[in-house]
Amino acid sequence: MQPFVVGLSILAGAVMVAAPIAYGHQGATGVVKERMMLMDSIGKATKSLAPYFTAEKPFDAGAVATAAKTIANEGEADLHQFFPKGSLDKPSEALPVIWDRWDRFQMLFEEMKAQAEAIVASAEGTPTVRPLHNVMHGGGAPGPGTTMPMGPGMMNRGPSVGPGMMSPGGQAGGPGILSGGANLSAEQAAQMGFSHLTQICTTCHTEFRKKKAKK
Amino acid sequence: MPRFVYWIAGLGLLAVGVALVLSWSPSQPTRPDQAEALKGDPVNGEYLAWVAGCVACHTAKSQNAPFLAGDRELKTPFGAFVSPNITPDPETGIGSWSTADFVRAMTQGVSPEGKHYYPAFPYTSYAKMSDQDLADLKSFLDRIPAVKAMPRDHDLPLPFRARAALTFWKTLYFDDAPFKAHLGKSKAWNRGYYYVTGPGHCTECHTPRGLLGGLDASRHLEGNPKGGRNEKVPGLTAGKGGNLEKWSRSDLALALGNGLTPDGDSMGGSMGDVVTFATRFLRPDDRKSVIDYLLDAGSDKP
Repeated sequence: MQPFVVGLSILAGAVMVAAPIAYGHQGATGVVKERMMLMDSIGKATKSLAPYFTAEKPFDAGAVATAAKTIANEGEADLHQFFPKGSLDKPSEALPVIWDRWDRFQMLFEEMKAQAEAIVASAEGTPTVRPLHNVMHGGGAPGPGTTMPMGPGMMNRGPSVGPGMMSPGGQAGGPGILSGGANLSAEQAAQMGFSHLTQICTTCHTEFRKKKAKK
Repeated sequence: MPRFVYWIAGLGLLAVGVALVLSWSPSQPTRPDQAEALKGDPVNGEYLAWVAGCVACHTAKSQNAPFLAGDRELKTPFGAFVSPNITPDPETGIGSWSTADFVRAMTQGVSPEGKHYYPAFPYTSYAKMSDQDLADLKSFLDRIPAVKAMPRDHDLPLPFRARAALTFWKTLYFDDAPFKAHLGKSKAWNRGYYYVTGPGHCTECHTPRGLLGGLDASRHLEGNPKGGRNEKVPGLTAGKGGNLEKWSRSDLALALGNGLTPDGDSMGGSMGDVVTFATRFLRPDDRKSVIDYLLDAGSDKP
């Protein structure tokens, strides 16, 4: 074959391979692209965890630990590096409030890492539940079962009044106010960790990411 | 008398006539007083305060905001509304309200003084709640700490400041008929239908609205490109071409319980708040009911 055609084909192939890498994520570049990739990695790992907590797949401690470790590793990222002040170039979905409330932004990211580590510990045999502190705004009340001042002993009734505990084999529906996870199995503790972890994701996205607005 | 005086008088009478004809009156006028006789269960009331979205709207965004003391802003295409204090403080909250007052507010959108509420307070959905659920909710609200706090006023453009005009809006857009189960469907399906159209009030964001903000019932749950807090709100229909067409049961369970989307993203925006403060507290059987309904809502168009 003529060298010209060969050369052109190689060039075309190289462009086809390189272009998505350079311009993936709707054309993002630089730190915006890097942090989108960071988030993608976390999302992918979270998605892979989900079936173990909806009874779609039987609990697999090894797979759960591996996915949670991925999240914990991503949680080591230096946020200042990924979110330099004012880095709002399109198509970034970050909100400017990130830099007004940097401490909270940072805290949520670190809490994500801590919850992922708790899931790892649980999956590796030591049931560990890390309560959610200061994650939710609004009175700090974590949900039903804890907001009724009906008298001594009523405040922490948990399971019998509401979704403070999981259903067997089902979704972890509520926040954890336990510590240590002493009476939970590894699987149950991991499930609470998953519930806390996803709560942090939702909280951070609600506070610090753009809403989907009509374009 | 000059001609024009007769004209003015005639127009005035016409206006009064129109007002009388169009002014709204409740279809269930005895509901509030009947509800007064019910004994409320505060445990169920607490559950409802979360899953019906009371906490999500009536507790401010700041870190240590007092529980249900209001002052949370809801920015809509019609202006910015601020939620009132619904703790039992008699002056700044609803401490002086009877159960009948509460049911009237929730099912008719009328205050104890007879003022109309703006439908940013979704009585258009809460009207579907049962009297017992409302009595339960009231008995919980009676028991929470009273907080003395007067929230800010609404910030609305001039045309929308005339509350009295809401009587016309209600005549046009407020269907206050109580919940009616679908006879051909399972108990669980109907529980889901009850939640989605009643306490959960999903329809308020997920159904398109007309120019004056009335829900377009013929397009139930088809989404709203400018809904919520000026957001693109997706539809919740599961038929062909619907947003939920390819969603599995566990996708929906993860969305409602954990804010996860099928591609592993976490919801933000208003739905993030909905998950954080309401749907993640749904009991597993209630969540299952909601899923039963959403995956089969096509046959339900009112």
